[in-house]
Amino acid sequence: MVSQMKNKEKIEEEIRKTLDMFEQKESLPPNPYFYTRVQQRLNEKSENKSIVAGYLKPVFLSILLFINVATFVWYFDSSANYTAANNQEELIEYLSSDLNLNTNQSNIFLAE
Amino acid sequence: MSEFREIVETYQVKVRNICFRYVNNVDDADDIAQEVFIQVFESISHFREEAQISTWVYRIAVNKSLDFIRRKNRKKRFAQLTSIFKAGEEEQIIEIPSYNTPDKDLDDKERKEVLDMALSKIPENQKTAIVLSKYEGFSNNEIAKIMNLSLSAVEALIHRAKKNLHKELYNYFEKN
Repeated sequence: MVSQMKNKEKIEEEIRKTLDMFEQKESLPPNPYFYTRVQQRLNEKSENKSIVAGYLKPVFLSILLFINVATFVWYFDSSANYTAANNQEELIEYLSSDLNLNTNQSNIFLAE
Repeated sequence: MSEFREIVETYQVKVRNICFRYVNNVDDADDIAQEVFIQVFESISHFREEAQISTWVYRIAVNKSLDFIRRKNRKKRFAQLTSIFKAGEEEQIIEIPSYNTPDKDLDDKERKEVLDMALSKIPENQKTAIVLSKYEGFSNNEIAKIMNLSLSAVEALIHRAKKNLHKELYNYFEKN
């Protein structure tokens, strides 16, 4: 029991001494080259940015332009098909060929 | 640019020291501190005048340091995972000073390492509060501004940090 208490006291003493290390703070001295290094890294970063702007941006814009042109072409191509079939007779012809109807059967659409 | 230089010169010591408290390595602390000032340079236009510039800079320093530790821990966990699959490879053992004989007294360096070990085991926000308070000598009010918390929240954090540090250290000395 006594030894247990002594042990506990010893541990508490060690904890106190360890927590006292907060007071013995070692600080880093000022670094005279620090600003130069920051500036150097800033320069490197802006150079990298200009590489991105110089090469990747045109590539990205070209892809975007290609997608736009492709969409435009596809859209007008399909609407051209639609206008081609706009005429009633052509539309019936188009449908009857799809449904395998003969001329007489398809004429029922033109009864009136 | 001369204004930026002034900011760097004014805050570099404190910023480097804050980073150093987290990473315990001068080179890493310098790297993080440089990143802090790069972010300051890039976002100075968004800085709101009602906040103190020092508080803002120190907040960036704390966040960058915590990010660094998180990244490092992730890498460590990944390395542990991959080491399981690499049979026969030697394991890297991180040595924490042992305290085998009751008569042997720990020297300051070892004691510092034990304290760092205990600090690494408490929650991040508690660690931040106690590091800023005990190592850097910030007042609770300043810490509240840096951590964007209320004063009572900071007081509670510091209280819990001390309690948890005591618990960690007790376990350590009991085992050793």
